[in-house]
Amino acid sequence: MVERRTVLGMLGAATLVAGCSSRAGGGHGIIAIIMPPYDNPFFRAQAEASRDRAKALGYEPLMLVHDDDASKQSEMIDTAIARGAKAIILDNAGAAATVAAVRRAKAAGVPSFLIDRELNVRGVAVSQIVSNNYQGAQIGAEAFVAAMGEKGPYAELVGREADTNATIRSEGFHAIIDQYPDLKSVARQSANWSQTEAYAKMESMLQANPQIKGVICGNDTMAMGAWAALKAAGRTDVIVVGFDGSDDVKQSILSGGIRATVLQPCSRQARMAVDQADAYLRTGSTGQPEKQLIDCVLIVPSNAAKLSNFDMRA
Amino acid sequence: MKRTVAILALALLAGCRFETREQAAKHAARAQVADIDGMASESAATLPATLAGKAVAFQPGQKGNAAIAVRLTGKVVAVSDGARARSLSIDTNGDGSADAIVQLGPVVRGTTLRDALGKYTFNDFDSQIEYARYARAINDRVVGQVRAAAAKIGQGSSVEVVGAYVPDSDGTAFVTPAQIRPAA
Repeated sequence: MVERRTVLGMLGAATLVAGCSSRAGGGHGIIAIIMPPYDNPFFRAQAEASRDRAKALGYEPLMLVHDDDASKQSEMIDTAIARGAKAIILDNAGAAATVAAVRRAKAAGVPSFLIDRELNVRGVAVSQIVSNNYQGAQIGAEAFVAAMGEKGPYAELVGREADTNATIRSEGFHAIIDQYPDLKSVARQSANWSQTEAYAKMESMLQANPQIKGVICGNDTMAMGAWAALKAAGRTDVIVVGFDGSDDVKQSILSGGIRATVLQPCSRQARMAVDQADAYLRTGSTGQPEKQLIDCVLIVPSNAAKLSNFDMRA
Repeated sequence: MKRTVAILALALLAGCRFETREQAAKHAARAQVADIDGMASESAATLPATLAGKAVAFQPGQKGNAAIAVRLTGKVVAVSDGARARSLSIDTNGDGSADAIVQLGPVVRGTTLRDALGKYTFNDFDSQIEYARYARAINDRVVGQVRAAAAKIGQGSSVEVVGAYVPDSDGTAFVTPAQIRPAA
C-alpha cells in the first residue's frame, strides 16, 4: 500500500483516535485495532469498519497506527497488552517482522486476528483473513485481456517487491495474460504501490514505448498515478486496470477513464475479524480455520455505482 | 581449549540475543516452508480417481460459487489450437452449440482442480503465494497428462471428461480436465 504520508492522513488518524476515546460503553473490554496509515483510504476503511463493529459488539476500540514500521508496531502491541486488551485486530507491518510481537501477545493471553496481510507462519494468530489475491488478479487480467482485444503491447506496474501481495497479484495477472501470444509485455516496473511513483514510471515507460496500448496495475493508487500521467500525455486511449476497489478508481471507471478494478472486500474482512474475535472470546473458538481467503469482485462500469468505501451496497 | 570454549559460549550467547525478534521470525518461517512440489505430486497422483469418484453430472447453466468435480459427455464442436492455450468446445446436450470449454493448457487458468480436490487447504500453507503455486503445480501435472492423452481428439469426436469448474458463469462453463477419454 501507499507509504506516502500526508498531513490530511495524519489529521484523519487523529480524528479517528479521538473519536473513539471519547465514547462511553465498551463493557466487554478493549479491542486494539492496529493498522497501516490512514492516508490510504483502504486502511481507513478497514479501521472504521472494525471500529464500528467492535463498538456495536460492546467493546472499546483502541485505535493505533503503525505507519508500516515494525518496531513501532511492536511497541503498539506491547501497549495493547499493557492496557489489558482482550484482542488485537491487526493489518501488519511485515510478514516476518510481525511474528515475534504477535507471539508475545499470545503468550500474554491476547489473541490476534489479522486482516489483509498474512504472517509467514501459522499457529501464532487465531485468524488470518486475506483477500484471494490470486483469484482477484486473474479476474482483473481477464477484463484487461478483453479490453485489449487479446493483443497489443502492454506494461505492468508492480507493487513493492518485498510485499507478498505484489508477487501474488503479478503471478495471477500472468496466469491469464500469458495465454495470449499477441499480448506483448514491453515494460514491467515497480512503483511501490505509490501514486506519485506510478506517475513518473508511466511517463518514462510511455516515452520509451509510445506504442503501449494498456497498463495493468498491482493496486489502485498506482492505477490513478498511471492514468494521470496518460491524461497529461494526451493518451487516454490507453487501457488501465487497477486492483483494490477504491472510490477514486470507481469515479474514474464511471466517467470512462480507468476500465476496471478488482474489489478487495476489506470492510467485510474487518468486520469478520471483529466477529471472530468476539466469538473466540466468548466461546474459545472462531469456528473457522486460521487462514481464510476471501474472493475479490470485478468492478466494471455496470456495477461500479454500487461500490462505496470498499463495500458493495445491495 | 578453555579460551575456545569461552569464545564459543560468547558467540552462542551473542547469537541468542540476535535471535530474539526478526531472526526468530525468519527461522520459524524457514522451518515451516511447505514442500510444494511434493504436495502437488502427491495430490496429482490421486486427483483423477478422486474427482471421478465425487463428480456430479454436468448441467448447462448451473449456478454456484465453489469449485466442484464434474463429469460431462458430448461432442467436440470446435478445437482451438493456441500455442499456449489449447481447448476443446463441447456440446453436451446435442443442440449443436458448445456448453463447456475444456482447457488443455499448457497455460492453465484457475485453481479449480486444487479446490475441488480439497486435499490441502489454505490452512496448510504459510502464504497465499505457496497456495497458488501448489495449484499451478497441480494444473501443470494433471492437465499436462490430459493434453498428451487428448492430442488425437479432434472436431466431431465424442468424449467423456472428468474435471472441475466453478458453475457461476452465465455463458459457457470453463472446465479444467482431470481425465478425457473417447466416448461411444
